[in-house]
Amino acid sequence: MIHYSKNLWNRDLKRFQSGYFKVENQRISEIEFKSPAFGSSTEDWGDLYLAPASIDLHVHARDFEESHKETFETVEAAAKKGGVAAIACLANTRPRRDSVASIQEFIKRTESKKVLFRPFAAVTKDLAGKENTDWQALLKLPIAGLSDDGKPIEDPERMRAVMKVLKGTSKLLSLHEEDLSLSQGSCLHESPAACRWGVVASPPSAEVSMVERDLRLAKELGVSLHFAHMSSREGVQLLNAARKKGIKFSAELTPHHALLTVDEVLKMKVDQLSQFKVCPPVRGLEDQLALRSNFLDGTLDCFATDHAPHSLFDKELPIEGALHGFSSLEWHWTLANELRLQAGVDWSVLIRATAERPAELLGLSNRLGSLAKGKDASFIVFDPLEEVLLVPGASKNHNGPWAGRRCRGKLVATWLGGERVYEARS
Amino acid sequence: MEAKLKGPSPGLSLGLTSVTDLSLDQVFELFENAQRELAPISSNNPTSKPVLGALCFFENSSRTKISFERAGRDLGLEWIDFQPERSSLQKGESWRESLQLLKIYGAQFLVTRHAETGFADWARTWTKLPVFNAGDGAHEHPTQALGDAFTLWKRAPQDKFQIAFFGDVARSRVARSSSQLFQKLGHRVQVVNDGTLSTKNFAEAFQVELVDRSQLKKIDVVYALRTQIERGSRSSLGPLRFSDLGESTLVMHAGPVIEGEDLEFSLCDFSVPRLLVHEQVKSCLDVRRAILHRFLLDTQGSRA
Repeated sequence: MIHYSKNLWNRDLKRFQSGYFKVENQRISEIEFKSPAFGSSTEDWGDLYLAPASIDLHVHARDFEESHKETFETVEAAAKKGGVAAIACLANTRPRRDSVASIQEFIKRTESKKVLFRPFAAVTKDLAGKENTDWQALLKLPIAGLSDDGKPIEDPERMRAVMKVLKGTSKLLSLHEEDLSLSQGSCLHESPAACRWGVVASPPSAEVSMVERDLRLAKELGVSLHFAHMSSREGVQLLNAARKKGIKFSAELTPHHALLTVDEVLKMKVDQLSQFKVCPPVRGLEDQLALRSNFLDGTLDCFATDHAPHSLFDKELPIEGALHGFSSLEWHWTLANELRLQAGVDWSVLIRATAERPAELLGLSNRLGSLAKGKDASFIVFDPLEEVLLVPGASKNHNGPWAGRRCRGKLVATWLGGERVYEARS
Repeated sequence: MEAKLKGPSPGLSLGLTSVTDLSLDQVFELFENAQRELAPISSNNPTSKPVLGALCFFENSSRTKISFERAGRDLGLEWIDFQPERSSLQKGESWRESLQLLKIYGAQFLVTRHAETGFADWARTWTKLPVFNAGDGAHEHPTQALGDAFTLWKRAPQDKFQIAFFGDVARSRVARSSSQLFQKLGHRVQVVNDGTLSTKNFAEAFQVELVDRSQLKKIDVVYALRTQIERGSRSSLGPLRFSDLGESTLVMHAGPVIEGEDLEFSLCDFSVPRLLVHEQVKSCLDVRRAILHRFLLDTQGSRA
């Protein structure tokens, strides 16, 4: 089968061009930036855009004992709707992914899915920060890497130890940077807007101090780190300075930190606040602008949702008792495109952050991340300017601020391995 | 007394969770009524049972709870005294479930106090009952604010006062509710600058001015706040001192006063007229009675 469009992503020239690719055995067997010989098996997408499907490095897939929040089936449906071909899933499931057996169970449950699932294994047992998991054994499994995400690795000695073990491997160490002594019990970013509601607030320093420590350790040991969900101006400034000094790392920008600010809570009613509770919190305008500019220059090189579905029972509560997190995977691509338009992001930067770079980091570049001969025919079809209403449906829960908003960028279809797995209703 | 329901306002038939829910007309009507002797409201049906409210205090309270209880009894209400510390909450029952059970037992409205912002609004959502907010975390305490404003209104109904809050405003629900209501009534509200970011954030959030402690001598009313030990606060200002005040400065405090910590000991003789602490207690009782009276009138139709 041949897919043709006037706007096919050319990764070499870094622009959209008229072209086609041919799919054989789920892979791209030929790609040319010219008109094909049209035949009965040509899908002519006309003016619609074709780009590589995304890879999301930050997904809380739940399932197991939290299948009331999300199941592997619903999270896969959300990925397809979001234009996502592969998801890296964090270890804070219940029970935790903190042993070889628990990772094998995860792999067995997800390996036949069309969307690729890559689990993170926990750094410490039960993510409790006390006892290390069996790192050596876990690193022999096909995992994305190690992470206690949801919680920081507080003990610097443990951090050094895990860095040493990871050195020389291609696995990620994904870090949730938060000094809990500064943020315990916090609900919102420390700001006048948070003060309006009288809730405990988290200062940027909670993130900054941990980023600073870990950059120092990484430099000492010569290892590469992955900074999850960066939220603060000062935190990202540290990363920027480190990059200029040649320290290697990767880092995520989430749609909520990139598109929202804490001032939104000023327009809310008190019982809407819990839907805005996320960790790290959505911060102020100056933080948002710094995150955006560091996304433009590649300091934040991965776009990741931090998809964190929760049930109504976890969210329909006063903000202080509600759990942190937003459901967002099913709008992955639309939110990325909205960021592109709002922040003036080049297509090449966006596609690098949604597809190429995360594919490299997961060791999937031979299959995903770009449209080229020999790679999976996994791509998205979209109209980059059409306004859409964000209507939840794929995920099991739609906690968070996105449902009901309008964004630009209609994902028309998602194809994975040459097969159409999602099509928007027209 | 007749119900004077105007327009689409629900009156107090849903209870009261925030001072922002009140119109100026409603506030002044409550003040007028708080000055009167309010008699129990007789139903048209002599066999009907008294209205049953539930006092749900998940945080410690003495005066607010006693005051609501007394105000209700004056109007012929009956109360369920729900005591969380002795309830099935200790066995792991959720708040939601506990409150829903009170409805099954016949509670027709709730008075709630809880350590979390928005609890009263959620209690209303969970139970579909009218809810009066007797304090939700550091967020709001609307009946206290009405009592405070009534205290000043009784002294001089036409006067606009210059009022400065003194203490840890950021952790104070009294400061949040009272500052908003004072502003709505045209008073000039200020906050004493203690040099912290949280006080600066408070001033910005509620658009009130920061003043230095040295300026208090020129201010009409200093509102000293309780040191919120249970919320981890200790004001960096120390206690309000006699030497901070001008000759005619009035002092307010919502109580309970931590003597020597909130106010220096020489300001703790509350028989002195310029210390309004006891007057506030009386005002809060009168205002709560007026609120419950208004509530009963506003809901009478639906209870017939």
